[in-house]
Amino acid sequence: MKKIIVFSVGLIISGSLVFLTMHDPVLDMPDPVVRINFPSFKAVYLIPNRTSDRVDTHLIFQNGEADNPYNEGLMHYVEHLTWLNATQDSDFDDLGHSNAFTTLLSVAYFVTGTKDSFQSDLNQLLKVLELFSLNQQFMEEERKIILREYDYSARENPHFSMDASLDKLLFQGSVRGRSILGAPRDIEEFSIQDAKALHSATHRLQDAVLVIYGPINKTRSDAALADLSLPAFSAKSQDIEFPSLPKDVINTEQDVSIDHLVSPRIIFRKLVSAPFCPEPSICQIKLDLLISFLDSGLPGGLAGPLRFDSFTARNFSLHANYLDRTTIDIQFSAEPDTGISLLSLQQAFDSAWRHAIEQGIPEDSFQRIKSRYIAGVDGIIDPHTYAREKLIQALIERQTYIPLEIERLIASETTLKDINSVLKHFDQPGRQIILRATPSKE
Amino acid sequence: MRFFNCLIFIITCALIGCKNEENRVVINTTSPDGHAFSFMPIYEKGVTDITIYIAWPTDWAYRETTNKAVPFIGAQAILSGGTADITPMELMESFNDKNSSGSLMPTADYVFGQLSFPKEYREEVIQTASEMLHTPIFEEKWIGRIKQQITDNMARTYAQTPNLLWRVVRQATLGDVPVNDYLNLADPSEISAVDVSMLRRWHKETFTQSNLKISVTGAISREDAGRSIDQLLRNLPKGEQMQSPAAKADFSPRKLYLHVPEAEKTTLALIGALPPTSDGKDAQDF
Repeated sequence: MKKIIVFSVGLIISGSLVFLTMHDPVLDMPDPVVRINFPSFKAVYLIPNRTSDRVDTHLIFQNGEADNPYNEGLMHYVEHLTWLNATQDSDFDDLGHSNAFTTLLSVAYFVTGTKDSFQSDLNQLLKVLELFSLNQQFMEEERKIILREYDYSARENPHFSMDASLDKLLFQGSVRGRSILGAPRDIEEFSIQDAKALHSATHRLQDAVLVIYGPINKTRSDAALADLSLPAFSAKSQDIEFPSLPKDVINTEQDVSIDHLVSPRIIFRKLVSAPFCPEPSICQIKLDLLISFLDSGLPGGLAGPLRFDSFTARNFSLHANYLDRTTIDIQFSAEPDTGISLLSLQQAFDSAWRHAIEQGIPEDSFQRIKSRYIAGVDGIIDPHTYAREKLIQALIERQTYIPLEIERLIASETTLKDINSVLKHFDQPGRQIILRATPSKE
Repeated sequence: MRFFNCLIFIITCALIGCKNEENRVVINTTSPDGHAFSFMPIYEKGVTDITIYIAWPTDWAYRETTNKAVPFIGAQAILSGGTADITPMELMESFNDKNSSGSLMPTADYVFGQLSFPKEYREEVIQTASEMLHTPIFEEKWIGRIKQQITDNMARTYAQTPNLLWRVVRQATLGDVPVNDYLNLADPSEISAVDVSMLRRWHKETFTQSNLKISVTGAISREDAGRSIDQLLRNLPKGEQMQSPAAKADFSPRKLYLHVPEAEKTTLALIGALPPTSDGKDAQDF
């Protein structure tokens, strides 16, 4: 027994020496994302993962509904037509999975296949650049498919109409307020000529970002890219442009009656000006720490007074995001407990919100939130998948990808003063809307 | 680098005793108290978490006289109520501090419980979870809040016409049986009728030590996994050897119409049975 203990201690000491010569278990790992220099595209990223049995290939155009000068929702229609056009050949062997999606700032196409199908999947993806050769009637009928999509996801969804009207008010005059799906009347009137023009303007190789994930190494990806025989554009990476936002202050409260709404709900939205942030992705990490605190039941947070100390809010959600380098979009939404009116809930929120801003985050609460965040980062056991999700999310939001080790570093170096200085800005005049929504009588 | 990895593996094994189990290999074993469980250790750099899954068999949904909303409300109440010594808010924040989580998911055949935690918090988390399972706090106000939430969730579900179709599908494939009421949960009065005595009866019948399906995975030795299971379950009653009755679904071809005059659009569904995942075909629905 003694020998075993001595042996174990010896190993522990040796182990400590090993760890002294290595970095942190997370930090010593090189980031899985590799930037590949291939001038035909705006950018190419490779995330080699030899343990994966599938290859995911994304082609992302950083042009979305915000870049559509035609009827609202046309970019989504273009995405449908583009993918149908690219996959109409019978030789498209979609044994894996493929799909496309449109957001306010991007449109993306992806194919999931195997190592063996990688080259053909890549060829398939690049067909989204081709001009539409679909039958005219077929393209017209696709408008009805989008109407069905509207029926399924929006028509009986009360949150769709609430969010849409809030966005219109909040982002008045800005493309940020545009609807990605469009209204039924817009969808019915989509022009194929406009769709073709929008496709040509937004689906260009030099605007495309390619992301490859899976058991593909750099040699293999270089060979596959060289095989494409694409022209080299020497595309210059341009500064990321965010849609402009209205700056005038508003402070509006509305009572609205909403079809299909089941329970009363209060929604608070506010755009606030924050100190200039050169890199919103980095500032977002600090903002996430702040929101984790406000969302919690820790001393100074909102969950205590709203959810636990008294039965006021049955559930609530709180989010905040940088929309550009100086603007934060804050969203709070809650449903009142039985016997609590929307006005009472609003007063309770207002009181807890002001108290949090005036008092700032207590030191102990801040340290707990920070520790949780860092433990969450250290607990990521699949950094390749995490990197893929983070990279794609950053690209479709036109933000900069932040490697995991940088994310950890920023979180660990964030101070209470940093966070409280952002919190102070939440109380500044901005564009504020409070919606008190009740179910319609029907 | 390979040498260092081996060294780290040896150190890990020396510390937690993994001589008899291979990394990411599943074995079937038994805890000191006699609970059979499946065990898959993960001895890898950076892996510090442990997860315990337990499936409690139940026939509650299949019985004529039971209130079908009880399992949904009961599971939430156990998770939300705290313990005799820890308030609900303190419990939530304590689990968050420990990067730990727990869930209870009632289905017609089993209540699935999951507990995940980093290895350094094993003792504390299991002790708290054991208390929650053994002595849940069924507090009227929390139960009222949960009932309201579930009532709203179901109303929200059925406010969308396509979801009504699933009720027809259940009726068509399962017939007129009590489990349909459980799966549909369409009657709000069933939810509002739930009281504490019903929850206690369901809790007493369901959370026993008998006939469980248990699995443990993560940064833990087989011995510690067995001890953890015993610590988690020891205070529960032995219970009866309950088997959940499997429902027989009939997928023979037929056409069904649900007339919803107020629906703005018609919804069409085509239903068929998928091969069971136990046949290894779970990747087909990709």
